[in-house]
Amino acid sequence: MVRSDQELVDLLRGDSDKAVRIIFEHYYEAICIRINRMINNKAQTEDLAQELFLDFWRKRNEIEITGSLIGYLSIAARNKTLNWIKSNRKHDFSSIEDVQQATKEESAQKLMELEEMKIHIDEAIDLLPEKCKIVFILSRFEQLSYKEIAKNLDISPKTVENQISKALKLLRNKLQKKN
Amino acid sequence: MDQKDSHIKLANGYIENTLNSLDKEKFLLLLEDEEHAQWFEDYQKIYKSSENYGKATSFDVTAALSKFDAAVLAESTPDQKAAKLVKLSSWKNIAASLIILLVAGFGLMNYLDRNNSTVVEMAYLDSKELSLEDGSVITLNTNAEISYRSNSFLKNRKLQLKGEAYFDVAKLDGADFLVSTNHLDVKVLGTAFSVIDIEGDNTATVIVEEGKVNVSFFSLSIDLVAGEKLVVDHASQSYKKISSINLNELSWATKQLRFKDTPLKNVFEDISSHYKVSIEYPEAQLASCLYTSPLAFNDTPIGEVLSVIQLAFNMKMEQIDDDKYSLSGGSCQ
Repeated sequence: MVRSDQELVDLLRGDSDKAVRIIFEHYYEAICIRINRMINNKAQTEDLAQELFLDFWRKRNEIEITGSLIGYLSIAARNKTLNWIKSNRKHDFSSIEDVQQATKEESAQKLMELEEMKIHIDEAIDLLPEKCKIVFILSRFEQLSYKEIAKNLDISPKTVENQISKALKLLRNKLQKKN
Repeated sequence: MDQKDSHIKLANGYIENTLNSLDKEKFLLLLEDEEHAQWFEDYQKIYKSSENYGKATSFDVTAALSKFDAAVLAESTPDQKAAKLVKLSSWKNIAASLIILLVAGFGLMNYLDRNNSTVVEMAYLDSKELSLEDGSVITLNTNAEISYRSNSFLKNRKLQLKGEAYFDVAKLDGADFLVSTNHLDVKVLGTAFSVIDIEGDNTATVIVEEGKVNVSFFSLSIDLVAGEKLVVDHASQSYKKISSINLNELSWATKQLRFKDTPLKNVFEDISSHYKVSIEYPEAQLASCLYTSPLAFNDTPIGEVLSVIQLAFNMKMEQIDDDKYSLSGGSCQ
């Protein structure tokens, strides 16, 4: 049975356990895809999604949803994931500035590989240097501004800008080559 | 920096068509600059071509939901838990007193070649076969009772069951087929299906061979489709949905054993448990052997079954005892 968001929210006010289960069934996969896009770690993604829906269940009686359910869950997923990234990968990200030069060379190398392999854009994204990739994902899929990305990853806005430019350059070259 | 930041936000909004008219105008103005326009053209290509990024990874919703249910139950208040446990103990009573096996059409198993057939041949010595008006056949096991309103059966196909029974349900223009007991409802949602609910100490199991059924337990209602198995553990108050099943788990009722690329170890396990015999064989030597039965063994005597298998692997069979067989030699070929 397909239910609209409004029906689900209404149900949340009545039989809330049932509503949360239906919402889980509807949106779990989409939320996992969203989280996994940011962290590329299936097991951790599943853990974060479980926590997210448990939080949702705990707050089921007081939740106010003004927009869409998926919108609400997506923002919750993004915040949860960014918190996880921050607490688990701080060291990685603080070292971004130090490796600028190294990644420049690495990029050129990767770029050549990409061109030779003529692989799909998805794989090209996967092959971006890790920091470059997360910055690109946050901008492209989570629609965060440079400032917001910088704040969330504890790096400077300038670094974000550099990483985005780099990502775009690598991907653009890849596309041009393909076309 | 700020400027570039706003550019990328505008670009995202422009592509997603979420800009207000003012921002849109601002953005279009930016594009009048050739450098910006070129950048945007590239950006848009990247943006669009990456829209499916990450969507190829699949996640097991069923397993996750089961875990979620367990976590919710663990955090429920004592009152909520009690409510759920009352339902659990009802379920346990059913599991102890009731075994249901519902079968219709073994269309999935092509070697049976009965895609359109709704009749399963049964040969119970101690059971009673009952043909219903709609073409369905029910086999009642010892002490089982079935009741239904004969004047309205064709209209609603509702039955009450006490005890253990085997159902061969006829297809009837998608009409539901509902089996109710004092505590449990099994609803057939599709037209060809098979379910088994096995008694166990801590678990109750439902297996769907074909089609779709709905099982109600705890405070939950779960759909099962072909090839799925539901194991409800009332000790830990959790359940697990498994998507690959061993069809031979139905052999006690169907009298059939069938193997398809089955490891020899499992073949002998299924045979041992079906015929209640022990079988010795050179396990290590034949560890990697797979066996596919040319046809299903249909109520075949154990001696014949083992003869067929010994030929397939060039083994030598010896009957040690009434319920003990020994196979020696052999190779995977």
